[in-house]
Amino acid sequence: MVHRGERVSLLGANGSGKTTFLLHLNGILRGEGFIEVAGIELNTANLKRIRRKIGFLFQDPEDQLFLPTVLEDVAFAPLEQGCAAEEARRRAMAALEWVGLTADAHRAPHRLSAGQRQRVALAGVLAAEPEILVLDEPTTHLDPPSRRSLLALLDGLPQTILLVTHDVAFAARLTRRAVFFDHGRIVADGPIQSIVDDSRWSLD
Amino acid sequence: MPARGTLSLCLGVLAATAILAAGAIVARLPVFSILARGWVVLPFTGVFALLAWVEGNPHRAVSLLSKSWLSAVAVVLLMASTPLERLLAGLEKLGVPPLLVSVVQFVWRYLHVSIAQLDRMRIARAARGGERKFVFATSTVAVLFASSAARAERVHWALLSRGGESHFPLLDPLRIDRLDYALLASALLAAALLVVSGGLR
Repeated sequence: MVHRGERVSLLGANGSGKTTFLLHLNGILRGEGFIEVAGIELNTANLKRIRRKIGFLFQDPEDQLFLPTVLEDVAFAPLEQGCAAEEARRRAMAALEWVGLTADAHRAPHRLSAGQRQRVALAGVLAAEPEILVLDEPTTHLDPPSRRSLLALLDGLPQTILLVTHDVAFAARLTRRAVFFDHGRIVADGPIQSIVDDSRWSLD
Repeated sequence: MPARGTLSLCLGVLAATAILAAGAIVARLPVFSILARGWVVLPFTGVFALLAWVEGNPHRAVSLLSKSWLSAVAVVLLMASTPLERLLAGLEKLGVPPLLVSVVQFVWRYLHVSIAQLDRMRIARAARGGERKFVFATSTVAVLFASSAARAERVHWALLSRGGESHFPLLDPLRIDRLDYALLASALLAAALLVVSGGLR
């Protein structure tokens, strides 16, 4: 159970089921049991509505940016939601301005740095105006300055955030609560510092 | 009457060249370099043209060469003047199946990702002193295929997560204006002239 506006880190070993869990949230993977997102039960009929409420940021922005220019990519979700071209462009430019990349709107994604690509991916997620952000190891490909700027951007957002990461320092800055995964189950849930200490989940 | 046929062929080729050159000028592209790039097909069609010439049919040789050159120039002009996403949207409008169009789009987008990965693998091999090129080549194909398949799945997840289906909406809708009509009409006219005069046979 995660409350509106709450931020939670999902920690755990490689292969402990964190990403699998995330992919269940918007019905890309389906299992047994019951999932409720923003008060809506997840079922086949609700998939589109739920995917609209959840913004997914993946580990490798290369997977996420599939259109030829930055602007087209950021405008993808608004257009899919049925916005008119003008409105989609406005929302895309607003999102790009927020991540500080308006100057690169007409460049190809592969001409950008990894940090810029991750910010473009974030802009694409935000342009869809989601209620919940799901971030799957967003800092893997980022250098420390890019990590700092991603942290600052995320910290300014009102959305509920679920963060999967091995980057404990990043997680501790962004979230207060953490859950710990082991072999596909949540084995601990509490303040991030005590979770990290109890599971010896940092370098020292 | 080979002389008359050859004359109308030359006229037709000139007319078509003029249209392509006009297209390049309108698109503000360097006309001569666009026309010159058409010769990339020469090694392929040149052989057949040479054969035709040797067989005693110079008309056919010239016709083969000029046809292939004109087609190549047209392709070069199209690629140079039209961004890929608009080209693909246009193809879709012309009735090419949307699935095929998105396949082309994805291939274009992810080709350089695969090439970058190939480069990394080559460097890693060199760093480990690998000299067995054949072993490298075969296992590379396997690894690239597996990782591309895995990436394809992740891209599909991302596409679904962002509410996507199979086609890509455009920010700027396609439209046909006077210039397009003019180019289309002149191209049709030139083609009709060529067919009527029996030039490109």
